[in-house]
Amino acid sequence: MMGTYRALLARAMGRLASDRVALISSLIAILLLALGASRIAVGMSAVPDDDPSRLAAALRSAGWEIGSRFFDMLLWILTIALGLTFLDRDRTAGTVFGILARPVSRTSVFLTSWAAVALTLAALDWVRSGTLIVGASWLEGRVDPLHLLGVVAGLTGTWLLLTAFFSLSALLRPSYAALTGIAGLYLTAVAFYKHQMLSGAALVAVNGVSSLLPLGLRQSDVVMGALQGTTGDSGPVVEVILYRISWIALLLFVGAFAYSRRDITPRG
Amino acid sequence: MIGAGSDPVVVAEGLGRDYREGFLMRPVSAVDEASFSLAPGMTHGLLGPNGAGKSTTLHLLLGFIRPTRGRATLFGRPPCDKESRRRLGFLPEVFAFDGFTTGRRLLRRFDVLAEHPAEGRESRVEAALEAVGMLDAAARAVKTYSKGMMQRIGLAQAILGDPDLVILDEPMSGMDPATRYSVRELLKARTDRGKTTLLSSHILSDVEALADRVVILDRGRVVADGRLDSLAPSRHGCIIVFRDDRPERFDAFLAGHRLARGSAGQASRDQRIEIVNNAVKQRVLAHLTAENAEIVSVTQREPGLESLFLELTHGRPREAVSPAGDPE
Repeated sequence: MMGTYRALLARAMGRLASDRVALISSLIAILLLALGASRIAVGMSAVPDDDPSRLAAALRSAGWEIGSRFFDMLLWILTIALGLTFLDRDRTAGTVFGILARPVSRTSVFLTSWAAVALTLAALDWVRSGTLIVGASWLEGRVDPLHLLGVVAGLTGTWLLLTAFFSLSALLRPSYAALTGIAGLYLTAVAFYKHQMLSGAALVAVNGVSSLLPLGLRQSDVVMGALQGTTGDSGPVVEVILYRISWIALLLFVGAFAYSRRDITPRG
Repeated sequence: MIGAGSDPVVVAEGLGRDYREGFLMRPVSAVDEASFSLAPGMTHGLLGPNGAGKSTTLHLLLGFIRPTRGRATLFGRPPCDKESRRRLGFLPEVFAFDGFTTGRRLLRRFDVLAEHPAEGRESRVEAALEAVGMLDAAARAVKTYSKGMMQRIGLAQAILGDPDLVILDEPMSGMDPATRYSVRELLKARTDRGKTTLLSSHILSDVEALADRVVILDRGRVVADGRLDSLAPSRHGCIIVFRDDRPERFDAFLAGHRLARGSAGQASRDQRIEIVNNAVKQRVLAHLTAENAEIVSVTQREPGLESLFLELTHGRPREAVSPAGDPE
C-alpha cells in the first residue's frame, strides 16, 4: 500500500520536474525574488544598523509586502495553472491509463498528484519564506513562532487555492473548471469587499453564496500581521490555519470522490 | 483463487454505453447490448471498423468508464476490483509513458504498482525487457524512444509478471515486421502457458495468426463471436469469369461439383462461377480450358478473416485480380 503511494508520488514529482510550466515559473519566481530582494535592501538601508530588532522588523515588513506584490501573483497563477491541468494532462497524454489498469485506486492517483503539486508549491514558497525567516531570525537572535505560523497560514492559503482548482478539474472538464474557479474567485472578492460594493438584495445574495465558499481574503490581514510581526496574538492565525486545513480536507474528499466516479478516456 | 479452471476470464452481459452528443445532448450508443465471454487459456481477437465501439468496450471492461446498461466482470469480479487488476496487464491504444524516466525504471515502477513482491522484481523486469527486445535500450530515457520502441516498452509493462489476462489495444501498429513476428511468438507462448490474451487490432493478419476466437463489433453491436476456424474457413476461394458461345454446355459439369454459373454483368456475355474450394478451382479451370472456353479472369477472394470482417461490417471485399491464365 505504502509502496504504491510512494511510487505514485515519485512519478508525479517526476512529471512536475519535467513540466516546462513548473520549471519556467520556478525560474521566474527566483528572478522576481532577486528583484524583490534589491527593493528590500533599499528599504532596509534607511534603518539604523545598530538595532537588530528594528532591522528584523524592517526586513519582515518590507519583505512580505514586496513579496506579496512580486511573488504571490506568480505563485497564484502557477497554482491555478497546475491545479487545472495537472490531472487532465495525465489523461490527454495517455500516461494515466497504464496506471489505472493496475490495482491502484483512483483516489491514490488523485491524492498523490495533489501532494506532488502541493509539495512543489511549498518548496517554491519556501524560497521566499525561508529566506525571510532565516534573515529575520538571524537578526533577532531567535525564531519567532508567530512568523512561522504566518508562513504556514500563507502556505495553507496557496494549498487551498490549489485544492479548489484541483477538485474542480476532477469534477469538470478543464474549460468548465477554469470558468467555475474564476467565478468562485470573483465571488470571494465580492464577498470580501461586499460592504463597499453592494447593498440590499445583492448583499443578501452574496452573503448566501459566499457562506458556501472558502474565503481566503477575509483572513489576509491576520496572516500578514503574523508575517510582518505587527501582532503578538497567535490565536487568530491558528484559527486561520485550521479553517483552511478544514476546507482543504473537504475539497480533497470531494475531488477524490469525483475523480473516482468519472469517466477517464483518451477522448474525455 | 478466483476465476480458476474453465470459468470465463472476461464476461460482458448486455453491455451498453451511451454518450450525449450535440447541443440537445441526444444519447448515442457507442456500445449496445454487447454480450460475450472470453475463455481462459486462449487468444481472443476483438475486431471492428473505426467507430465500431472496440475501444469503448475495452474501457468498459477495464472500468475506465461506467456502463449505461449491462455489466462486465474480470475473473468474476467488477473491473475496478483490485483482485482482478492484480491479474491483468493492459496496453492502451493511445498511450504514453513518462518521458523523464528510463525504460528499466518505468518497468520497476509498474511492478510496484502491480503489487508484485519486491523479491524477484529485477528478474521480472529483465525478463520483460528481454521478451520485447529492449534490454539494450533499457537504460535510455523513455522520451528518446522511437514509436516502435514505445510500443515494445508498453508491451513489456503489459506482460510484466506474466499476468493471467493481457488486454492489448493495437499492440503492433508501430512495429517493424521482425518485431511483429517476435511479438506474435511471445503471445503464442503465453497462450501455450495457459494465459489469456484479448487482442484488439486492425491488422487482421495478426489476429488471424494469433486468435483462437474472435468477437467482431459493428456499430456498437456484436455481429460475430466464435472460434476463428468455425467462422472463417468457408471464406477462401475465387471467382472465375469465362466467355463462351454456349455456356450451358458446362452446366452438368458444374452441377457435378455443386457449382452454378451466373451472368457476370447485365451487358456482358461473360459467365461467372464462384468457387470455395481451391482444389475444385483447378479442376474447373482445367475443364474450361480443355473445352476451349475463354478464361477472362480469376479473382482470388481475400482469405478467411478479412473477407468475413468485411462482409459482417458492411465493407466491400478487396479483390485481388490475377490475369487470365495465371490463376495462382
